[in-house]
Amino acid sequence: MTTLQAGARTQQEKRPIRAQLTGLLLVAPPIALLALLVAWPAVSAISFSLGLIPGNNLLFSQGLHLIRSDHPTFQVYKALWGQPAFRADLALTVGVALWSTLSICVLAYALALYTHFHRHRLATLLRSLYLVPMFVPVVIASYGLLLFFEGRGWLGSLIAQLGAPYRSPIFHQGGVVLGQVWQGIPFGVLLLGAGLEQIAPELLDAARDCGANIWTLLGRVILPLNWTGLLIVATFTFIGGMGSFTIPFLLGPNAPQLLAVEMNNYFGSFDQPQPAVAMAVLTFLIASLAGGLYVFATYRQRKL
Amino acid sequence: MSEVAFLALEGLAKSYGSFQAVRALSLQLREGELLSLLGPSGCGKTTTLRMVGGFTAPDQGSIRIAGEDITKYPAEVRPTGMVFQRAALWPHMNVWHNVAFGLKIRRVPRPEIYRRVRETLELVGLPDSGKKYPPQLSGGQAQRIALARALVLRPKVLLLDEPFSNLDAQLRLRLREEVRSIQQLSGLTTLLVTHDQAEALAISDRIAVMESGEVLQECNPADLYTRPANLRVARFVGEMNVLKTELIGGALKLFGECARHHSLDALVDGPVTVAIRPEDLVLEPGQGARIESVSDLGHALQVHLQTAHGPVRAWTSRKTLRPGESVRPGAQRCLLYREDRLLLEISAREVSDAPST
Amino acid sequence: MSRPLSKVTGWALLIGLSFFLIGPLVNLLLWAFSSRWPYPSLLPEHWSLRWWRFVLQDHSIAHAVWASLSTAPVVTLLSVLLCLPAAYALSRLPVPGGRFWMISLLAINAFPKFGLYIAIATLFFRIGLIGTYWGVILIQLLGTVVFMVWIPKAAFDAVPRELEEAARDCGAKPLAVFLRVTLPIALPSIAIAAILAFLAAFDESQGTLIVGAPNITTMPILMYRLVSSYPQPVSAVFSVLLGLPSLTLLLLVRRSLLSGRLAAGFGV
Repeated sequence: MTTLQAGARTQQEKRPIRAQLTGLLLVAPPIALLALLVAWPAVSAISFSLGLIPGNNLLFSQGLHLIRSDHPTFQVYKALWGQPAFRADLALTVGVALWSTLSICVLAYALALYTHFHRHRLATLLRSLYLVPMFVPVVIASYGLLLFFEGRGWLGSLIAQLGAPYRSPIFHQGGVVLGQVWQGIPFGVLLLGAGLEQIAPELLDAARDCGANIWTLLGRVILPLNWTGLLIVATFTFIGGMGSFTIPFLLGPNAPQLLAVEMNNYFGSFDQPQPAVAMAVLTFLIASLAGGLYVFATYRQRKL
Repeated sequence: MSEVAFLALEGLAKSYGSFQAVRALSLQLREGELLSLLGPSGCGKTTTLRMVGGFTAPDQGSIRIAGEDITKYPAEVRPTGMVFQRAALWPHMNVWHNVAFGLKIRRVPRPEIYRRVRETLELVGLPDSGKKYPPQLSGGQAQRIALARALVLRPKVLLLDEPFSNLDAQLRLRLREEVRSIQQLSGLTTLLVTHDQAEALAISDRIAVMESGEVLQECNPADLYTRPANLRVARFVGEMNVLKTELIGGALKLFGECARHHSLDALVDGPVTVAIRPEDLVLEPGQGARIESVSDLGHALQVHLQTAHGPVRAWTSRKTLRPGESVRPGAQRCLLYREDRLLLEISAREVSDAPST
Repeated sequence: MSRPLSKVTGWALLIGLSFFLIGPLVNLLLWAFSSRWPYPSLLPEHWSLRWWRFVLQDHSIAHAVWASLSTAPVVTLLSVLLCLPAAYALSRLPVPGGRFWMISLLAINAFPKFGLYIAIATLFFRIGLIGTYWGVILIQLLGTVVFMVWIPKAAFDAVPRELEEAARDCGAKPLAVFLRVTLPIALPSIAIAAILAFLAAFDESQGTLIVGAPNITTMPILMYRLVSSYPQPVSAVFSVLLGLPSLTLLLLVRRSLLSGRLAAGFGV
C-alpha cells in the first residue's frame, strides 16, 4: 500500500549541480587512465626526443648515445634522418601501411556489399567466415600465416607439387601486408556493413527505379552515403599499420625493417631509448594526419 | 468548486529554458473523478502529468493529494500510479514479476503479494498471463498489464499518459471503456492525458482543454462540445466551420441573409468570426451556397459547399433527403443554422487563421 | 547483378577467403599433431601427440599460463569497475563535456599502438613500473577502456527512460531502479564488453612485451620465444592452447557481433 511517509526524503530530483559533480566523478577514472597512459607518455616522449631529459633519472642517463640539452633541439631527429637505413625503414613502414589500407578497404568493401545485398546461405557462410580473424590472437595468426605462406610452407608445397616456382611474400613487404589484411578484415567489414545497414533500402530501390545499374548505384548512391564509414576504416587501418609490431616482427623483412620492430630493437637490444622514442613520436605525427581525417569524418557524421 | 478537492494543482509552472511548458496551471479533482487533459502535442499536458507523478519538478506551484502537499516528494514515495504511453513493462521480468515489483519493493508479505497480483490480473481480464514475458503480449494486453502494475499498489491517484494512443482503432475503443469501468468501480481519482478528443469526450467526468501551457476551458464533456468557450477550443474539439463575416446594424450577415438575433443585441458593428458545427447546418432548396463535392462518412453525408464566406462543410443525414432528391455537385442550396449553436467572436486575429478540424 | 553471376562471385569470394583466412589455421592445427612433415608433402607423414606431452610438461609454459591467468581476469575486473560507472554517468547524468570525454577516449585508438607503448615504457622506466605486475595490468587495461565505456554507454542509452520511471512510480529508490531495471536490461551488452576486455587483455602481445620484460612472460609473449627457438610443432601446439579461450568466448558472442553491437564501440 502506498503511503506518504512524513519526513520522507524531500529531494525531488537530484539538483543539477550535484548530478553534474557526481557525473564528473564517475567519468574521472577512465579519463585519468587516459591522462596517465596516453597524454603524459606522449608529452614526455616528445620532450625526451627533443633532448629534454629529467636529470634525476638514472635509467635514462644510462641509455647509449644520449643527446641531452637544456632547450629543445632536433638533434635526435637529425641523427636519425642522417642514417639511410632509418629513411628506408620509414618509407617501408608508410608504404606497407598504405598498401594494407588500400587492400583492406577494397576487400572489406566488396565483402560488405556482397553480404549486405545477398541473403542466401552462401552470404550467411561468408558472414561467419570473415569474422574468424577476430577470434584469433594476432601472435597465432602471424605464426599461422608464416607456416602457410613461407617458402617451404603449405602453399609452397602445393605449388611445388604442381611444378611451378613459388616466390614467398614472407619476410618481404608483402608478408606484412598479408598479415595486416588478414587481421583487419573483420573490423573493416563490420564497420562498412553497419554503414550499409543505415542506408534505407527505399533509396536504392528508388535509384534502381530511375534506371541506375549496379555500378551507378555504387558510385552515385551507396558510396556517397557511406564514405565516412570508409574513411573511418581507412584511418584506423592506416594507424593500426603504423603501430603494429607482432605482424612485421614475425612476417616482415630484416633490412629495411618496419619502424615498430626497429623501435623495439633500439629500446631493448641496443639500449638506446631516445631514438626509439623519437621514432614513436614520428609515427604519432604521421598518424595524426590520418587522425585528422577521422575526426573530420566523425564530426561530419554527427552533423548529418 | 464547493467540495474539497482530492487532487489539487495550484499555480503549477514549468519552463525549459525560454520555453514555458506550463503556465500557472490550477486544477481540482474530486475523489473518484476522471479528468482529461486534452490538447495538441506540446500543449503542456504531459508535463503537467509528469509533475503530478514526480518525474518533473515544477518551477512554481504546489500539488496536494488528499490535503497533503506532495510537491517536494520524489516519485517513489508519491501515492500515484502511472500508465505510460508505451506500456513500459520491464522486458526482463515476466508479467507476474512486473505486477508484483512494487509490492516486493514495499516488502509486502508473500501470500498477500500472490493474492493481490492474482486479483489485479483478474481485474484487468488477464488472469492467466503471469508467466508470459512482455514481448509475447499484444499492445492491448501490455497496456492492461501496465494498468495492473499501477493498480496493484492501490494508488490514491491514477495517472494515464495517452495509454491508448499506440493501439489500433477497435482495441482503443474497447480498452478505454474497460479502463473507465475499472476506474469507476474502484473509485480512483484519475488524470488522463490525451490528444484524442473522442476519447476524452467518451470517458471523462470533466475535461480540461490545454494549449500553450494553459487551460483554455474546463467543463463536462457535453458542455465542451456544445458550448466551447472560444474558437481555439471549438477548433480542437469536433469539426467546426470557421467563417469570417460582419455585423451590420446589429444583424449578422451570413449565407446571403441578414439575421437579427437576441444574442447580438449588445454587440457593436464590425467584422466578426463565426463558428458553426457541420451537423448544425441544414441544407434547403434555395440560393447562397454551391455544392462542390459530396463524401460519404457512413453515418452521414459530408457536403462541401462554396459560399461567400469561403468553403463550408455540412453533414446531412440520408434520411432528411426528400424522395428523389440528391445532393449533386454544382447544385445551389440555401444554408440554415440554429442560432443557439452559433459561436461568435469579435477578434480580428482569429479571422486570419485557416479553419481546421 | 544477375543471379548466376552473383552466385559465381559468391563462390569465388568464399573459396578465396576460406583459403586465405582458414588455410593457415588448419595448417597450424595439422602441425600441432605431426611429428614429421617434410617439404613438399601436403599432409604430415607422421602423426603424434608427443609435442603435446612436451608442451604440457614444460615449466616455462606453466609459468606463462599462470602469468596470463593472473593478469587478464584482474584487468577485466578493473576495467568493469573503472569504466562501467563512467558509462552510466555519460548515459544518464548531465556530465559537463560528456560528448567531449567520449570522443577523447577514442584518442587511445588514434595513436599507433607500438609507438604509444614505447612512450609508455619510457615513462614507466622513470616511475619504476617496468617489469612489474602493475605495469602490465595498466598497459593491458589501456586497450579495454574504449569499448568498456562505449558499448555499455550505448546499452544504457537503449534502456527507455519510462522503464526507470515506471519503477520509481512503483516505489523503487534510484539505486533499486538501477540494480533491478537498468542494469539487468543492459547486462547482455555489458557482458559482451567484459568478454572483449578479457580477450584483449589475454591476447595482448605488444605492450606486455615491452612493459613486462624481463620479469613477466604471459602466454602470447612466450610465443615469440617459442617461434624462434623450438621446432614448428611446439609453437603449433602452444598456438592451439592459446587460441582456445578466444575461440570459445568469441563464438559465444558471435551473434551479438553480427548484430552490430560492436560497431557502437567505434562511434559509428
